[in-house]
Amino acid sequence: MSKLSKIKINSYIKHTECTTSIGWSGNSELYSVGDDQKILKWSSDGELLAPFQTSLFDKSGDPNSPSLFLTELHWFPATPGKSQTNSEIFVVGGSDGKFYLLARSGRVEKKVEAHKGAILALKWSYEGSALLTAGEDGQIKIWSRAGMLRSCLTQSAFPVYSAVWSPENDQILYSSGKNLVIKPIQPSTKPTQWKAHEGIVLKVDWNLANNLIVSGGEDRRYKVWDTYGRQLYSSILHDQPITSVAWNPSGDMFAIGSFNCLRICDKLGWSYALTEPDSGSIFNISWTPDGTQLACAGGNGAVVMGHLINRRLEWKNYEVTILDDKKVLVYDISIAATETLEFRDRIIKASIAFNHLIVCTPSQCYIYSDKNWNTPAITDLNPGGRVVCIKQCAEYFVIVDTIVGMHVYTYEGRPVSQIKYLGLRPEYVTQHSISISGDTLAIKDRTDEKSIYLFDVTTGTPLASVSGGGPFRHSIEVMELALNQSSLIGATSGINGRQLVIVDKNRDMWITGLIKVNFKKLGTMVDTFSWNDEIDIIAAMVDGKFTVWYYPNAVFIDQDIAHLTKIERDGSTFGRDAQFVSFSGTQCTLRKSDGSLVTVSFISPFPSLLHEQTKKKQWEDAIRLCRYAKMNELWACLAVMAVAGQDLNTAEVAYASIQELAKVQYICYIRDIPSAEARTAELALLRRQPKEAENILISANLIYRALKMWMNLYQWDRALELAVKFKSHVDTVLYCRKKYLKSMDKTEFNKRFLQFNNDPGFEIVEEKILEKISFEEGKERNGKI
Amino acid sequence: MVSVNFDEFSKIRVLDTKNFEASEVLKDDCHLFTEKIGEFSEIVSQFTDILTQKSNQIEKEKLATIGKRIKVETEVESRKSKKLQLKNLLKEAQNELDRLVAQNESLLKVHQEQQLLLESLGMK
Repeated sequence: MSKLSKIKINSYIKHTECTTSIGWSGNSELYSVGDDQKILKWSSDGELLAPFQTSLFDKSGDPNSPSLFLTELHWFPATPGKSQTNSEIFVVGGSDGKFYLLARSGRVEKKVEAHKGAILALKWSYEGSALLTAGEDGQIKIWSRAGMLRSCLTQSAFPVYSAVWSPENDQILYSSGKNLVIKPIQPSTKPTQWKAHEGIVLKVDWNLANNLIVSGGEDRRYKVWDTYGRQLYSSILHDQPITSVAWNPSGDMFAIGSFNCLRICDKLGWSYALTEPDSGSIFNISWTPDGTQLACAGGNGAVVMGHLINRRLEWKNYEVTILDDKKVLVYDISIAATETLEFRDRIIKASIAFNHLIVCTPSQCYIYSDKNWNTPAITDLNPGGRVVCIKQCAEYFVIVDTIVGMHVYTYEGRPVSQIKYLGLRPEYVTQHSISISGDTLAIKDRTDEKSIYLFDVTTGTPLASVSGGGPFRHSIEVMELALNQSSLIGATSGINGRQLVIVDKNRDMWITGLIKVNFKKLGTMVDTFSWNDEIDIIAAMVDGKFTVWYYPNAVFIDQDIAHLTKIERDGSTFGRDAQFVSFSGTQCTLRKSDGSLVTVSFISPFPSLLHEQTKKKQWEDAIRLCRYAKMNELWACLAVMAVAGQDLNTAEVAYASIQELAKVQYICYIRDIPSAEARTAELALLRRQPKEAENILISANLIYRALKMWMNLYQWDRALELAVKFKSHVDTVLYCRKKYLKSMDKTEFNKRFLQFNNDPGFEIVEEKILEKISFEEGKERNGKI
Repeated sequence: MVSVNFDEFSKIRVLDTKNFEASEVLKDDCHLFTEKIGEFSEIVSQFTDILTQKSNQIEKEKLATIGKRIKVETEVESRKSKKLQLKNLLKEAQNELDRLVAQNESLLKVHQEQQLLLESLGMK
């Protein structure tokens, strides 16, 4: 059923000479410039619109002045968060070293002398506040919006063939011979420079959303880089030099152009499709702002328009193929049935998960349930915005668009909430920077990569539990984040059982609950990870090993045996840089760096059963399951779950099965404690949360036990503090301290204890104290507190 | 000295009759001659026309032949490039196939594992 991905193209030769550059205006008209000294205006269907009248090429009075040939064109960008139809001017660069600001009407607004020799690259910054130009003279200059010189950034020994802004507009990436250079705009900061190609680098592009760099050169290769200059992908040798590269605005793919060759590639570098238009060398590629279509400037005067067809999405037994820009084919493998869905407008984004297919066109969002492909729920989208990302969870899905920000809907199409915060830049959002679950939405902020924002899905308000509603900060930059997806029941309902996992810049993976943010490290050198879409299991590629945490919560409960709750398998089948695509049921699908999907089911079905049973507190069944499965990991999980669920018998059996004798003994000790609160407190101690244990004891008025706990932990200061605070057993504490010091053969050195020792009010009478202690113990035993 | 006389038709003559007759003959001969010359030049011009036509034709044919010859020569090259193009497309399709084969293999393996798991569950 599956069809090959293809690029559908239409080629039009209307320029009589080489087409040098192209650009889409905000209202999806295409402008092309050529060496025939013409600017042509096209509709998005490839029709030539009314001729573009301009006085740009008139030789004003002086017939001997050299002719002007245009080299580059760039439309003024749309203001972030605003509709894209408002840009009125564009800039063109000429072979005479000048750049010209042109109005939509064709009027030449400004003419600025910029470089010696031709201008080779020019680009507005993303919000349009500045313009960069680069020329044959090796200089890069930055200009104000009105065309006033702000700074001359650099002077290199080679002509600068290509230069682009960084996503934050604070750095400029340019080509310099065989090298790529990232130069911060701030003066006196050191540039990053690396050798990128064996030949001259002809084109570079830097993506706004995923922060990756792609470059193409005369060595006939294209390469993908991260911002530190690490090579993520290097292509095979092409027949001709790579003359153009261009990222799709959402950063999920890029296009490369060569002589009679156009290719669209995944962000990881592997190629979706190749086509061979009769266009000559493709000098420039421009994507429409919604990323559905691209246009190329061909060396023989051609303007080639194309879009990718037959893109495939997979989920469980469904295969969704976006056949054309308005048609989707759904194939159900299990019953070999197909459904064709047609749309009035172009499809911008589609997503399938959790039994629902979501398709976004520029104006509407269609929601299909897998039970009914005929009648979708339809909601209207904000016109003029661009859908950046769709993210689903079992109950809701969120659509991120460039105007309203994040909009949460139910699968019936009912809007649930609209989430926005100060400084949100929707165009930066990627699949890895946002996560939604049944109650919480987490998003990472690009302007400050250490911040994570958390929101209540149903109300759209920030989670109050986290630092008063503001973002919470990790110590270093966060690269990926994801919330657990299990539907929570009973004691773990709401955000109580919600957990967030992040991977930071050092590739360390951390987990935290959302009630109190407390990051615990799960692993290091994590390449990619995923939560299971039903239960709380994490799978990850850790240092080349495929690792599964059957109960990640274990790190909060019993760190000693947390390592027993995970399994490691050889991950060599995935190669380097594989990425998780889905993790549902016991099956994991990863995409290898060459683009192939690999599915594995290393994951046993027992842990998910165990999760369910323990959630319902069916401890007997859980023990039986573990006995049946005979898996150490499962016993370890059960031990931790039993501690979490405060079922001591089960915990004892489970700990015994994994030979944790100390824990078994401790559990037995806990079981013999007469009062329930004290048992809870001891379990808190087992989780290494003495503060929590103290709170439990104090609120149950078990002051003596709290004191004893601190004394057993040798936290004498805290014990004394409590005793003084509650005005009981101060002498007991002093007595115990004295006994301890004596056994250690030391004299008192603690100032507070010295002070209290000298206080005649706290005379230590051993008999009295022992009497008091036995009284307390008896009181607890009889349940009279 | 000019002698004036009358001829036999009683017309006044400046030349004597003999001369006059000779000149008449000359006149007729001249007329004939110019006529013939005219005819001749027409024939010549027609001939040259035909020649130029022919030469044009030849020129055209020549160009066409040259064109064809070049075409034949470049055909080798263009076939090469076409072959290359097709090869590229083939390579692309092959890559896609490899990806699908890898996916298929992994799915088959999963299938097998699931089958084994089912069996082992049945056994116990």
